[in-house]
Amino acid sequence: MLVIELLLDGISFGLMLSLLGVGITLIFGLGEILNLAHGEFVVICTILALIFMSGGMDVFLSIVLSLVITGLIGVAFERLLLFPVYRERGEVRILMGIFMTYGLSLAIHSYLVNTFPKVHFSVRLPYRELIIGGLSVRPSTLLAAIIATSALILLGLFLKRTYVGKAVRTVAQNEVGAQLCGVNPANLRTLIFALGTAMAGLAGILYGLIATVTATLGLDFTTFAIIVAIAGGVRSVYGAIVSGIILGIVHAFSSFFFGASLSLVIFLIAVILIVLARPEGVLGEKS
Amino acid sequence: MRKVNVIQNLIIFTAYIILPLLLNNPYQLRVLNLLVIFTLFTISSNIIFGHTRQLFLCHGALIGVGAYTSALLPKSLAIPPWVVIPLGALFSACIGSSISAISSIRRLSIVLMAVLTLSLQIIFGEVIVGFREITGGDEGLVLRHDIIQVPSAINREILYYYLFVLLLLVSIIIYNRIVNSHIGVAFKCIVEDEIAASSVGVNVVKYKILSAFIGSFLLGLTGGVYAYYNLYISPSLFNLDLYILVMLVFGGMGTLAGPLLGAGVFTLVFELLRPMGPMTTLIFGVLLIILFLYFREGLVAWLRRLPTLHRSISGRTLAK
Repeated sequence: MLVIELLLDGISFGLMLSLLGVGITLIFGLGEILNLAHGEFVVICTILALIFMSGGMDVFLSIVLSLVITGLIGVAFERLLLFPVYRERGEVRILMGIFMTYGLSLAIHSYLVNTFPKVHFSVRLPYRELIIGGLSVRPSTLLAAIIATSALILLGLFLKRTYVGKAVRTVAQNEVGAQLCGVNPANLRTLIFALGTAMAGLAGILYGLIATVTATLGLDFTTFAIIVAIAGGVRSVYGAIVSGIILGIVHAFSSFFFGASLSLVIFLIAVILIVLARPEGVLGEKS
Repeated sequence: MRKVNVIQNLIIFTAYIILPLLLNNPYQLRVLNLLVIFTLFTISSNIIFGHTRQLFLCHGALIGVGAYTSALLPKSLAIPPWVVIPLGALFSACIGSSISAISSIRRLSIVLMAVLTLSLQIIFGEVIVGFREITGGDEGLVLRHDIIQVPSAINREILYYYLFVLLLLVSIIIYNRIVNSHIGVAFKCIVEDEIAASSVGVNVVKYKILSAFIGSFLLGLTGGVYAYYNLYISPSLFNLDLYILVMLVFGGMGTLAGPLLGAGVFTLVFELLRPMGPMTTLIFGVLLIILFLYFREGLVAWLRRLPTLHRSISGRTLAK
């Protein structure tokens, strides 16, 4: 029983990690920029939602509004700060991207931690625990898992079925080839950056359903996101989803048995081992 | 070449030795100490990143390993601190060189390396917090002994200053030796093009591991002495990578004067920004972005270009 409950918790946390990891994967796939500021957008979105809610706005409306604004902030950062990076090619571009987003992430982190030191974001549902066949399931965990799954399915449909989604995959496969077919990578990069940051914001809202988001958590979210993306093979969206779920389960079990602090260490060591054993990711897709 | 180097070294050495005699305010002496400490950190980062382009985002962890090892071992094992500090440095060097060995043998891309080292930095902090009974956790660890018994007649700050300067001078001499030897030539090849370097017979893996070993040894050594200088260490003191990278990029990678100038300027900037409190991180984050965008060549290269710039401008006016 306990094992199944832990498994459920792990899967729902893992789906949230997948949402984060997919954002990193898409942004890296399109622009070769490893977004080290990804986790800060999680915190930005939850703080925006809190501000709207304390202003007396409807919960659902304020969450949607904060997701949109987070996406727009992402667009602003991408257009203002990352455009000089795209002028470079190859290794220099990757290195510049890392430095820019590293500086950005520490700057946002220190701003948020100092401006909103006492922010605690958590959404509590007015329902009691469900008992299904002897299992006690928290409705918030279930809701988080459902929302995350539907968001991931929507993303998959967008990438597979729509014209713009196909264009996105073309750029990820071959930038020059895509340009020759008349696809403009710059606009798609901006679109994907907005989508990625909005998904990071959604992950933050969902994390508020299972636990509490504080302003200090940005760097942790960033690490989780990057780790999920790397373990899934930096370029594979499905790899990121699978690795997110696996790592979420690992996290749930290790934090139950070893406590929060050491579980993170075990988690990170597991990831280092995955990266060393399979640098191309858990699904093993060679780029 | 040799002669210029000797004269240049002599000027640097005398400057560092005379500086504290001009100051007597304990605050200024502390800032001076921090300046030398940061110079040592930046020199190590220069050896690792500036000379072989290995991206380490875990400088703080390597410094912290040196500091915690040399603070904790004498407590449990009754060994004098000056034996333990090199041991701690050796421990950091082993960690640093194994990171380098793993990533250069497996040819990890720069992205994977950033992630690997970033997670090591977080593992370090979590391990310190996790083993609270031994390390003191978040509250930190208070050290009770100096490296040597300080006679009360001598100012403690000045004593440690000269210890750090001794460390700095030795590392500058060793740095010059390395850069002017065949190793330095190999480093230059690696920075230019790794594949080309290995095609002309440079053992890229060996030199990368060597540079990571030297750099992390120096980081751990400075960390160990810093623990005894500060008499207090906590995991939050070791989030230093941003500052070290700003100093290195501003000063100029792959030069000796770069780290000296970069660390000098930014330690003072850091002190000027101290009234801003924790917001300094924000300013340094923005600085890193701006420097990397518009000043990637560094101060040293810019200063070197200055005379030719001047000449070309005056040449143009003459032509008119």
